[in-house]
Formats: sequence, structure tokens, C-alpha cells
Amino acid sequence: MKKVPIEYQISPYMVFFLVNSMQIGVGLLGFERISAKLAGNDAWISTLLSGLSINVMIWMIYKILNQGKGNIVAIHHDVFGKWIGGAFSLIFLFYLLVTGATILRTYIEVVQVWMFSIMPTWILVGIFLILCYYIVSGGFRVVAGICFFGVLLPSTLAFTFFFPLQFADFRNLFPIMQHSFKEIIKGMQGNLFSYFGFETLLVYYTFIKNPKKSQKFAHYGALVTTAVYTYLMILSLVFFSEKQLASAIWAYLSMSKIIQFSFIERFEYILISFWAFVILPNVVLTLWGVSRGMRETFGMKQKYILPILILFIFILTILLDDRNKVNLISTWVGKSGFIIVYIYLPVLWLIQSLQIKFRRQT
Amino acid sequence: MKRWMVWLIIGVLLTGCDQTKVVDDIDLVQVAAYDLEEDNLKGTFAISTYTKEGEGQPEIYTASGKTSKQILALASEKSSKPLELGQLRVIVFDKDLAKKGLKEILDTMNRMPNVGNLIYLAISNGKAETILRGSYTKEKGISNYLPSLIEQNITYGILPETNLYLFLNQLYDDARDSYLPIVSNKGNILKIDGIALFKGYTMVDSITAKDLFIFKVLTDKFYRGTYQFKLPGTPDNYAVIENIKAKTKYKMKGNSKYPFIDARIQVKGKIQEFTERKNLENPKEVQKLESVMEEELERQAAKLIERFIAKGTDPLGLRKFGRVHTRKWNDKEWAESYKHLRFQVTADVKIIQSGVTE
Repeated sequence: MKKVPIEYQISPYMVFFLVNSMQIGVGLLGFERISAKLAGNDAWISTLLSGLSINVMIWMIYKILNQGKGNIVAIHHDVFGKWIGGAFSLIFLFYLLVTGATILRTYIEVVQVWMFSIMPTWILVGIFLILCYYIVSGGFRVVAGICFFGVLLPSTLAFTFFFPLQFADFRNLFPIMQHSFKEIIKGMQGNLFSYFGFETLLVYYTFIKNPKKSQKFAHYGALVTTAVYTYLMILSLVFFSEKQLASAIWAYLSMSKIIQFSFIERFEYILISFWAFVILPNVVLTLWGVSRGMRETFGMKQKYILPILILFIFILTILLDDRNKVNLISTWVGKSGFIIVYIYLPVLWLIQSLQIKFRRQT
Repeated sequence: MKRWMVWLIIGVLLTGCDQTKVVDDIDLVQVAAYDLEEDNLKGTFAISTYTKEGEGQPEIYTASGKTSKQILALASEKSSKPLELGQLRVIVFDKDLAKKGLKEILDTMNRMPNVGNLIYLAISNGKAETILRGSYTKEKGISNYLPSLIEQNITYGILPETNLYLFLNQLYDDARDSYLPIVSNKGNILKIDGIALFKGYTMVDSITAKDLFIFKVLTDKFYRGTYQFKLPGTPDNYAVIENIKAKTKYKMKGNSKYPFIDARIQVKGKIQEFTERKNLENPKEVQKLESVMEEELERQAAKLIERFIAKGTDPLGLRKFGRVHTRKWNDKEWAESYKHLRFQVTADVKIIQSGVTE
């Protein structure tokens, strides 16, 4: 495994922005509904628990990466050998790619429903992907820079989190813990998908200077996400009544409908347009991660892989032409993510640790 | 790299391909009204026309149909420009329609992203169409008059706070019912007649303007508005109090099977007007006055609450208080016990000012 030259690497603190920008994406606009359906007014507990469990998983990912020799592709190769390891790598990369496509398609659905209802999907996707190609071909440092702005610019919108408080009814939260523990765990299904994206860490790990030092920044990134999501969940619960929230597909956007200024009456349109900044790092980093992973698996040049990946996303997003299909693929991606992060990674860690122990003995 | 720039520019320019909605080329509906007409729904839409001199009289389009969206499309067939709901301020429903239920229209409005959250809903005492057709003073066309009438009375008057968002919020909340203002017109004047009480999507009762102060005390925490008390003694003896701060605290005692509501009204106010002169320097006189007012408030509030119970509607959200503060809450038991709910109203009036004269 060749070491990544230092001029292509990023400082450890950048991991904060990479993790945070990957997590906060299109999910923030509407993750509240499904959690509220499953766990009612205790959904914020589910959101908090999900965030904390994500931090545990980040800790585990660092355990795997720190004792391995490189990123996930190298570790797969090391643990399972060339063929099986390669197959596992491909499955993981395929999952990442579909995640990227789903994020993009979901965002474009929002644009179509709220703003431009007759705008064809391919125009928006096309423009977005051209921009993505331009960024990804600039290399990982450019991608990381976009992630940095993908956190910084949208954070100016944080003031929108406080407007709905004027209509808040905090009694909606009570009685706390009236749902069973099982229901609360089930409620985690509703928001886990919104936390995913941090697993790209498995690919860009080798691009971090002093990767071991970056762990705390990854945790900070995930903790900020947890705080934001939990706050938003509580906010939606006090702003909406329970059944109202269960029927609001984009709860955050519906809430921001009450923001009014004398110079702009309908603030949600600004918000949706601004959200492109939030979506961009998501798509760019997955595209970069998948192309990098493919390069290491097949030994092809990233330059040639990237157009193929972009074409794949382009076609996939066009095939998803109605709400049901978008929903279906979101559920599929969410489930795959759950299996990969919560089941596969612990198993991988176990096998890897045993192998290292075994090798040391012989 | 240069070729890429060309492609990027072309890409950006192509985004102009969506249908544009230029303000000058569409008609913005500002007030909409829906009437029940035999088994059809009739929609009336008021559009402000802007002339060189400023705002002119509104143009009005009507159409009948089965669904609210179809009506809008039919009305659009009569107008020179497409009708858009993006600037809607008020929707008026007539009483008969409200009694039949507003589910279809409100669900449609909720589904459309271009309808704002803060628009007002109102019930008309007569036909909703006549409210839009009335001729009001020129600079105060209906599209300006009606929304500011409601807004003004919510912030400074005794109308409880309502809008589309709050109405839907209370509607979807299974622990309370909602209410909307009733408006009527006489000549070129619009007037608030009271409050329509809802049970789900249907109107079940109405409260006259006279009781609005008490109603707002029971539902909102608010800072303005006046109330006139009748004082004992001579027949035409009244005192007017201006509210400085009023609210009601509820406590639920017992459980969902045997509930007991303890409502404590708190009003701080200043004396505005007396028909008979009284010495307010004397603390005893003030106390006497306060207790008269307390009694009156308690009696009127109890009457209102009894009425809610009789009609089976819960605009105060008492169920919510119970659910939050009582252990082992059972919604089914409450549905039964609400029918003969026991409650007690105690009022606490404090006169803290009496103006600049003794």
C-alpha cells in the first residue's frame, strides 16, 4: 500500500467538517415525521439515542482503521484476500454510490414539490453533476474544502431554528417516556438514515495527516449533528401536534413557513435554494469516495472511473420518477446502511482483531 | 478547462426553462370565500387590481364545483390572467359549509406549498360571497380591510389568536378542539360577531361578541382589551376595566375517570370608566369592586365551560392538561367523563391603576 503524499492530505481538524457535512443533509428537512409516527412524543429520545450510538460506531471505525494498514479497501484485502475482500469492497462502494444518488434525488424532489413543479429531473441533476465532476476532479483537498463550506454557509441559517418557538406548546412533550423502550428503539429507525454518511470515513482515512489525532474531531462532528437533530426533533414536537407532524413530509420546511420578514414573506424558498450548499458536499464526497475506492480495487485511474459513476447516478435519479420509488430506495438505503454499520462493521472488527492476534502468535 | 466553463454557463442558462410566474402576468388572490350551494361548493376570489393611482376596487371571480381546486380552475377560466394563491390572506367560509365540515378545503390548502401558514380563516354569518362583494371605502378594499380587521383585533382586541397553522394544529391534536372568528358586513363596515366553536372539522356552536373577552381569558394569555361589568345597585351602573394582563391557570385533580378541573382566572387591569362616581382612594371600595368583578367573571366563565361540555367540544384543551399532569391517563375514560365534568372557576381581579383622576 503506497502512502498518500502529504500535499494531498488534510489536517485532522477538517474531519469535523467532513463528518458533520456528510451527516447533515436532506434528512434534516424531514426525518421528524417517521420518528414521530413510531415513537410519538418520545421521538426526541430516539433521536438522541441514535446520535449517541453513532458515536460508538465512529469509535469502532477508528479501532478498525487504526489497527489496519490503510482504508477499508486495503483492510478488506488484508482480512479476506483479493477476491472476497474485493467483493466486499465493491458492495460497500455500491452502497455509497446509491446513497449519493438517493440524497440528490430526494433534494430534487423537494425542489420540484415546493418550487418548480414542472422542472424535469434531468436538468437539475445534470447541472448538479457537472459541478460535482468539476469539484471531484480537483482532488480530495478541494472536496474537503467544499465540505468545509457545506458546514459554514448553512450554519448562517441556524436562526431559522428559533422562529417556530413562538408557537411552541411544550406540553406536547409530556408525559415523558409514555412509550415503551421497544417503541423508542423502533423510533430510531426513523432517524438513523439521517445520521449516516460518516462511514465515508472508511475511505478517506488515509488522506488525513496524523489520522489517530482526528478521532476526537470526528466525534465532535457527530455530536454537533446529534445536538442539531435532537433540538429539531423537540422543536417539531412542540410546534406540531402529534398527528399533524405525522403527516408533514418536510416538517422543517413546513415550520419555516411561519418565518416572515417585511422584505420576504415566504422564507422557505430561500431555505430550499440554500440547501444546495448542504447537498453538494454529500454528493461530492460520496463520488470521490467511490471513485477512490474503485481505483484501489481495480487499479484504474480515477479520471476514467468518475464519468461512469456520474452517468450511473444520472440514470438512476431519472429512473426514480415518483414519490413511491424515491421512498422505496430511501428505505432500502437506510436498511443497507443499518446492516453495514451496525452488523457488518462489528463483525469485521472482530475478525480483524482475531487475525492480528493469531498472526502475532505465529 | 475553458470548454468546461462554456458548458457550465450553458447549464446555468438552461435552468431558465421552468415556467416563470411574473407578478404582472398573474392575478394574486388575496381573499377567498367558499359557500355551500345545494350540493355544490361555490368559490369567490377577490383580486386587487393595481392602477397608477394605487390600489383600486378588487375584481371578483366566482365559480361553482365539487372540489376547491376545480373551482379555482373554473374561476381562472373567467379571468384574463391565471389565478394564484401565493398571496392569500384570508379564507372565509359560510356558516352552513362550516357546519357541514371543512375537511376537503383545509386539507387541500395544507397540501399546497404555496399557501402560507399564517393566513387567517373566518366564518361568515351570512353568505361568504356577500362579504367579498361588499363595497368598502376605496383605500380599504376587502383584501386590505378583512385581514387587518382580524389582525388588529387579535393583537389589540379580544379576539383569540387564530390562523391556518393554529387551526390545523389544534385540529390534528386529539386533545383539543379549535375555533374561528365570525365576521359579518353591514353597509360598508365589516364586524366581528363572535367565535365559531369546532369539533373536528365541523362547527358545532358559536359564541357572541359579548363573551369574547371571557373566551380569550380562558384560552390565551393576553395584554389588552376591555370588559364592561354591571355593578349592583341602580340599573344603569357600569364599570369598564382595561385589561393589562389576563390568563387562566388550569389544574386537573383526580384522574381520567373522576376528573375535577380547577380553573383560576387572573386579571390585572385598570379602571377606565364609571357611570357612578366612586372614591377609588379608599382600598375598601376597590376591594368591593374587585369582588363584584370576580363574581361576574366566575359566573360567565362557568356558563361558557358548561356550554362547551354540553356541545362536547373542548376548545380549552382540558384533555391536554389532564394528559400532561395526571398519571395513568385514559383517553376513553375521559371521553365519557367529560360529558359530566365537574369544575370550579375562581377569578382573581386586581385593579392596579385608575387613570389620572381620583
